[in-house]
Amino acid sequence: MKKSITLMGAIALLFAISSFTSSLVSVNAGGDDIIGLWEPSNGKARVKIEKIGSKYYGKIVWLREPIDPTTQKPKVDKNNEDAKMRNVPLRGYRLLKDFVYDEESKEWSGGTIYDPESGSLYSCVITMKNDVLNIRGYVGVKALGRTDTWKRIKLKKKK
Amino acid sequence: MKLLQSIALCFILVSMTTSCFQEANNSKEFIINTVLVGSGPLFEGSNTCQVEISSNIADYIKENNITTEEIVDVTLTSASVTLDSSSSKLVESINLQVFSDNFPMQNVAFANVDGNEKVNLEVADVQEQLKDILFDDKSYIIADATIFEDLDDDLNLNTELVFSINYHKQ
Repeated sequence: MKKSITLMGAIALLFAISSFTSSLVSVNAGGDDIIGLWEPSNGKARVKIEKIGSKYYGKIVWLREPIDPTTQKPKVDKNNEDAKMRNVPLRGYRLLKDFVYDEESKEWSGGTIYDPESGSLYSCVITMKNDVLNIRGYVGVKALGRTDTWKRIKLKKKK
Repeated sequence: MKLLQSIALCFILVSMTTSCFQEANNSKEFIINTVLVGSGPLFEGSNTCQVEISSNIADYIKENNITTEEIVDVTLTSASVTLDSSSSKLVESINLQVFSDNFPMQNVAFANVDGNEKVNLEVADVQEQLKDILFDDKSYIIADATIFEDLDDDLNLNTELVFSINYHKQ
C-alpha cells in the first residue's frame, strides 16, 4: 500500500512538473515571433519590434527619406500635439507601443500605433501569417479600421 | 423620513463629487536617481537604454504622512542625464519614456545632447498616468538614445528624474 502511494505521489509530482513546464512555455510561445525588422507596405520606413518587460514595442530605425525637404534637417515629430516633443527625431521614434500577446487569439493587442504624418494615435491589433504582419489601426471600433501589411526584412549578417 | 434620505443622498453625492475633483493644495518633491543601460554592442542610430525601477514612492509618501487617496497627480518637473566625456561626443539625442506592466508608455522628456556631459531634458507638457505608473509593481524607464557611430561597450546614462507629488490635505 505504502509503495503504491509513493508511486502515485511520484506520478502526481511528474504530472505537476510537466504541467508547470508546459504552462511556462506557453506564456511566450509565439509572442516573440514578432520581434525583428519590418517594412510597412508604403516602403517609407523600417520598424524594429522588440520586447521590453512583458510588452512589445516598435520603433523606426530607417527612413527612405530621412531629411525634411522644408528644413533640410533630419525629420522630426513636427505634428506631435505636445509642442515640447516636436523636436524628437522620427528616426528612432517608437510608434508601436504596449502590445501584449494573446496565446488564444494569436494576436498582439492592447497597444497603439502613432501616425507621424498626421500626429494621430490609433488603437491597434496585430496578427501574423507567413512572416507578414497585419497591422490594424482603429478608433473605438475595430471593425471601422484600416489594415496595413508589413513584410519582414531579413538582414544578411556581416562577414 | 424621505426628506432625511434625500438629504443623506445629496450629502453622499456632494462628497463624492468633491473628492473626485479635488485640487491639490500641497506638493512634495520625489527624486529617482538611476542608471539606464544600453547593452553593447550598439549600432549607429537609435538604441534602447533601460532600467526596471522598483520606486520606493509608496514608502516615501508613508514617511510624509500622505495617503495614495490624497494624491491628485504626479508630474515630472525635471529630467537630466549625465554622460561620461566619450559618450557625450557619441550621443546625438535622448528621448525618455516611462511605463509599467499595467499602464502604457509615456514620452516624458527629450533633448539633443550637443556634446554636453550634463544634459537637461525638455519635459513634456502632456503627462498622463504617471501616478499609476510609479505606483505599479514593476515600472520601467526607457531612453531611446541616438548615437552617431557603433559602440562596442555598454552605454550608461546616469539619470535623475524629479517628480512633484501633488496632493490634497484637508
